[in-house]
Amino acid sequence: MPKVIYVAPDGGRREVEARPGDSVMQTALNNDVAGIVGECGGSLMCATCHVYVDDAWRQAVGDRVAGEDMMLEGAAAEITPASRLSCQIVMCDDLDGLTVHLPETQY
Amino acid sequence: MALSGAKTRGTRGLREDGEHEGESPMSVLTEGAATTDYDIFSMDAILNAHERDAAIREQAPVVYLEQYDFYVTGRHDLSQQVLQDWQTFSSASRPFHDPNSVRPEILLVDDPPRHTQVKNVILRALSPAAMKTMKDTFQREADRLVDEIMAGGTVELEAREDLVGRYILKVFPDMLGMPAQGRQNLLSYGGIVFNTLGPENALFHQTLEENGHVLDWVARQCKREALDPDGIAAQMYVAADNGEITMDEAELLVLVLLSAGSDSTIVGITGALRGMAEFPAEWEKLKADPAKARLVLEEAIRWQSITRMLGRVTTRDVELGGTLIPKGSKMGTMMVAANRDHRRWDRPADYQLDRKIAGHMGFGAGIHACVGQAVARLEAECFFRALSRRVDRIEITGAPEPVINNIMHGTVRMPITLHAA
Repeated sequence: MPKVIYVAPDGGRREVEARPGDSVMQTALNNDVAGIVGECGGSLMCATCHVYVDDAWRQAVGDRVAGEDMMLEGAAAEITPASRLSCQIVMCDDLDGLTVHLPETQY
Repeated sequence: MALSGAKTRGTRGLREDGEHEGESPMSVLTEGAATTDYDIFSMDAILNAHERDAAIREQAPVVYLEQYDFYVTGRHDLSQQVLQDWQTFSSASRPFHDPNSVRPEILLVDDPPRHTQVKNVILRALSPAAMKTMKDTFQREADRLVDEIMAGGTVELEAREDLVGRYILKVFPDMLGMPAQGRQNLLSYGGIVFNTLGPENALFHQTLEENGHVLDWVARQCKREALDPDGIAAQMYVAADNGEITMDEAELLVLVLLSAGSDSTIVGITGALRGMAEFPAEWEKLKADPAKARLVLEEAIRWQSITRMLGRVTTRDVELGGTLIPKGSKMGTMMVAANRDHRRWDRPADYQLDRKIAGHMGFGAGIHACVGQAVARLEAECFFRALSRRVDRIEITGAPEPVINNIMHGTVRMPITLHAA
């Protein structure tokens, strides 16, 4: 199973296995990764699963989906070009080892 | 009660050779669906929704309603599947769909791509980013109201009339840019909207007879000239000016704003007060950590789902929970049942502030999830932050009255005592 590595603002790392097809948000919730809230459950109607995709992975992860920018504007932490809503990143074997950095706050 | 667990029905609409549209062949479907002749919109069902809807959930993953000719599921996982897969479970129609309804049908009965274009206009206006600009206003109004109510210390009041209704009918229509007069009409209109999502039963007709007089008023409030140009509702017309939507669509989106953000939010927050009163240890947690105010409504609308059923229509033969549902079938997800499905939730009947709440469907799910959810979250967060500063304990002092409505569910009136901190 592909792995996701979540890096907390204090540098702490959590490496968890993802079910292919699950989002990076859902994977975090399934594994009790602190720092991902996912209030809307993945409906693209909030901004509480905000992550910064590690530079090494940004190309593989791809661009934001339609509607994602509008929600990201409401994120509590700073938005950067690496910002994504993790409910919109779906895990697959190609993303094995994906590293995302968690923001200071989600709301 | 009249649930008939042993009965099944044939797989109406399937071709005899077993070939189905779609990519995967269906198996184990020859038994047909479990059926019931129980009327899920009877007064018995409405008054006992938790028990009756749970019985349907436990009868089978999918149950066919003989009286209404559609399928329902009360399971959490299947409801999620239905609501997330808009291609298969379309909103182009649904049980009891009436294109000539007094409700705004825009958004509810569209699928992408048009749904996305129209939704983005209203979603932008109600988005978390837009709500950042409302936070100070909502908190100020919540603090002002709670300070006024608690000025004389411990107080007895009626939750909706004296507290929650006053707050929501202040901040929400203010935000939209509506005049101060006549706002109570929004509650009557909310009742109509949710009742007419159900069958044309006595409740359906009663709501129109008793409250139909507000329809003209509501229609007048949707006109551009009735709205403060600086309010959020007027932004629908600006989007029409910019060519994103038509003027007719703008007017309908304002009607959506008026239909969905008052009555339902009040019922949701009243349900949260009830949860806090019935589970006082949770109120203690909130007082100890006011940051938990954000979670109060979230768990409340899982615990007491505001909407009893959401409807869809299938675009192909589809297997759901081992039942084959033929193409063109109407179906419903039973949210009161799914939000308390013990397969998903530990101690589902308990109100628990610290629950891992993501995945609840109190706002629906998928592309048709509540477009105003960021507004409701902020309203509730500010309200409970204010209340937790001044109130030591919430006590229910009389029997709470249930909402009597085909689709809306929860508590409408509840006498409470707010014990001063």
